[in-house]
Amino acid sequence: MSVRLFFGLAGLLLVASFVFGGQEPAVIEGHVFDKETRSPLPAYISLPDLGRGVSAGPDGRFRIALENRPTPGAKVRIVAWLIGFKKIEVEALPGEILSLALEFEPLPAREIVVSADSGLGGDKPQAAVTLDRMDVYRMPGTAADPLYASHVLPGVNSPPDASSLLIRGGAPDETAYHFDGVEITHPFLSQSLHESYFSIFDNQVVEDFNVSTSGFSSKFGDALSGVMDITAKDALFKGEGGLGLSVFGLNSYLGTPLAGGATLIGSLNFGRSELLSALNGDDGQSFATGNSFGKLVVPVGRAHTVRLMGLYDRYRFAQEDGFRAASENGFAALSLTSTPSSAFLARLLLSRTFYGAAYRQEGVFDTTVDDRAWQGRLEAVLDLDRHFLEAGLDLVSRRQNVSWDAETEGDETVRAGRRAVYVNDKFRALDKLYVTAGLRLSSLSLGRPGWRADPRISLAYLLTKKDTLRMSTGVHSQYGDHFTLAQDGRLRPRSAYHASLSYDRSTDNATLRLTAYGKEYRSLFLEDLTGAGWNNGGRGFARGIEIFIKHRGRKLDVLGVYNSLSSKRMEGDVSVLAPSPYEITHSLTAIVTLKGSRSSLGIRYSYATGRPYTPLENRVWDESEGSYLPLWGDPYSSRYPSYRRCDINGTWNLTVGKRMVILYFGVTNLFNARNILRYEYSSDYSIRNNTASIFGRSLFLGLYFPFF
Amino acid sequence: MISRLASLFFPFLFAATVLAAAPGPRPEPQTDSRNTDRTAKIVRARDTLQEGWNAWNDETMKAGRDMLLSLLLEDKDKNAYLYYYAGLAEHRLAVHAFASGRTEEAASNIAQAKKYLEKLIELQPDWGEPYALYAALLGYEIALNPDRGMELGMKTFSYFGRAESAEPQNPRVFLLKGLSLFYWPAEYGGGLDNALAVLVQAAALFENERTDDPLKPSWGLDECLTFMARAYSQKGEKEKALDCLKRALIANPDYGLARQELLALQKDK
Repeated sequence: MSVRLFFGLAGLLLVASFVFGGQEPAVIEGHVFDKETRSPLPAYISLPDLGRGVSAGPDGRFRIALENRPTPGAKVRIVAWLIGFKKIEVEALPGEILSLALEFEPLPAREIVVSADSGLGGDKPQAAVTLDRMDVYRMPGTAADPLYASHVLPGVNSPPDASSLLIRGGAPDETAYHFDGVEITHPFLSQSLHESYFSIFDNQVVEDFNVSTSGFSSKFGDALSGVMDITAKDALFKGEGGLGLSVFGLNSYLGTPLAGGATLIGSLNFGRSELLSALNGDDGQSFATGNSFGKLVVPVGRAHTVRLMGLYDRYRFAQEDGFRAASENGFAALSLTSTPSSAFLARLLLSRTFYGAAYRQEGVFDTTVDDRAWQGRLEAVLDLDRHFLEAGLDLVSRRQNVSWDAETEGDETVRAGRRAVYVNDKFRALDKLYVTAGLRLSSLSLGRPGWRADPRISLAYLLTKKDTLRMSTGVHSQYGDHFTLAQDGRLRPRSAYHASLSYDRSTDNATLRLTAYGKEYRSLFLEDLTGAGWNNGGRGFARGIEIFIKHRGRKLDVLGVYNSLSSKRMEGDVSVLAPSPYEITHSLTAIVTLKGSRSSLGIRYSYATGRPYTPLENRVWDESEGSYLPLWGDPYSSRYPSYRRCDINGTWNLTVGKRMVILYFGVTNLFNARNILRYEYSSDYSIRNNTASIFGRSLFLGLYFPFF
Repeated sequence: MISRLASLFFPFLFAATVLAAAPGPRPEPQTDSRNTDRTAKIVRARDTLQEGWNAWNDETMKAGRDMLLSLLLEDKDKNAYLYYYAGLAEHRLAVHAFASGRTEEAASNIAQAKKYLEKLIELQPDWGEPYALYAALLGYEIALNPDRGMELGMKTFSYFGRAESAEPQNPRVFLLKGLSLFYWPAEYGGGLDNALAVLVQAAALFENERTDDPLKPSWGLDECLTFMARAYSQKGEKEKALDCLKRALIANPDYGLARQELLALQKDK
């Protein structure tokens, strides 16, 4: 009975729906989504002929009721649009359920990072591999130093615990450093024959840094492997600063807007090692540092800006055995930037860099180094939306002096002038294909005369908004050691041919980069063992893959980097193709950061296979010399033990009164792993001394008062 | 040979660059009210948005937003006000969605608002108010993603600073900043007292604001006074709070939040 009643009612409803269905308004409905990611879009749907429109909801669904039923069979014109996406137009019959796929709008050329750069900065959506400022502060084992932080970027390695960059198997001197456009030839706080530690760049004043491991812009030259380009903070609209106190010393920073739209930025830091050494039970050596930076930004009218900058850095080191080292490093610069229109910028930069160092051991050696340069750069940038053109002129005049005995001036002095012009065009070749093509011409007053042409090209293909395929190839030249070039007027610059292919996936919370690359070295300096000086017969290669993963969660950040490298070189006094001394075949870094509302704790583990070295096979007595001579094995045929290090650090934000205070700590080399830097031998080659990294287990404590 | 080519090439390139940079066919953003029909349409859309905001009705706000989008769809001249009001509409819808607990919808509105404002900043980099709106959006983004607080907080400072620097007399810059300060911790310069001080400054600037251009933004006095009232009320200064709410309703008799707060305060008394 009840079944009959049910079917009866259902039939009645069906008939009613046929009878009254004609009264219902016709509708246009459907959903809008991103063509590539398939994610829903809140696009605006317009029916231009009927003057109607509605935005889709966050689920991409929309429904527009038509006030009058259109003629049966007549189609309705529909336009769908969302900012950042291409507008589409379709026709449909009322009642049809539509699926509208929107394709993202091509971005202006300037917004696309075409080469596979990586670095610091949150405003580069297309540069997948970025660290933000907090990453640099939170990262264990970096001492908030941009150079140390860059070691976790793919393709970047370093000698154990040193700060110099080994980019894709390149030597430390194959990387160029630029700070606000000034080329810095000595970027390290402490620089010695073998290693360099920490940088002269104070993270408090750094706005942005970028590390190019291949395909770098033709704006940069005289570098075989990579470029680190650092930008200091600039015009500020609100005052900021901070004062820090740690077991190493004091650091301070102030950035403040001034009248007339000007800005003053400055930092001042002092450090002494005594307290740090006492805390960690280290003795036998002490060091002191001083670092200051100042920048004044003054707008002149609406279109011009004058910038004055200066950096001064001082380092003193003393060892119980009497060894002393001291250095002074810095630059002064003046720049004028003109932006007569929003699409054009021209900049003139003049700077003077200086570096002086002294190394003394009473009665053994007394060496001083003096390196000064004048630099002039003229740059022009033109933004044509589809094309982003850069061109410039780069002049350097450099004087270097090495004195082996401080009493006698000018043991060895070399002067050189370098000229370069470059042009770079970043343009959108197709909707999703962006190209950077550049050419750099350069010449040096030393070595073989003439201009060197370095063409470069990089392509970026946006597979989707989140996936990018990048390819770079180009020629990169570097003049090398000026003293060597001065010895032989026939030497050409060394060159490297880069090719790399990388795939980036970048979502809101995660980043993945996979890269394969090859670098062929040509014209490396080779020492003629017959005593005929130097020639360009050296060569080599570096090939490898890199994997970079970063995930940012609400409570947990994870970062992982793996590099694999194969590299051989024939260079210097090695006249066969042997493993490169910079070949770290496998390296892995993993960082986990736990984040609380007022605290953070970071753990970092790094592993790297040992670098090659030339083993001592035996020693023989030389009657004529009256001493033992070494019998070396095949060049770079052995490897140092693997490198391992675990660091932790943490911060705790407190409120004292109404002010924020940040307490922080760091433990470097938690398990006190003894990482070998190199082997040194006694004068008769009977004893091998293992020189270990200076970074044993050490604790660092400090507090910081930020001002907003 | 190469050196000769280079010496010829560079001056040529530089000259070409300078010539190419000369004012060309690149359209300038149109911000005046020459097109009266379009001006009327923008005003109607803006008023619908305001009507929805007054009544705390997201459907009306969406209708206003959609009217603006239909105009934007036809816009060929890159009218800066259209981008401004589209950004404001999405901002207000984000506030509504956020307050109603629809966080995904709020995130979607914030993302859209940011895109309109980024475009607007590109069109008119000297206009301060869009920076302040952008900064306010970053504040909501922090509320949705507290782990990004430090990173976005610094950006928020910077955008508000930029807005103040560009338009030191714009009351909405101070209003938006004052509203944000309500939710910032005191150690970052936020908190009730700091927020109130900035809102008082904004209210004084509203008193002196004169607008001749019908499209120029003029909203905010009602909101400023209502939040000042809320601050006074929290400080226990009920009379001052009542006074502010009455002034808010004189400025905009339809402003629902002021009416609601006034009723609550009178009941409390």
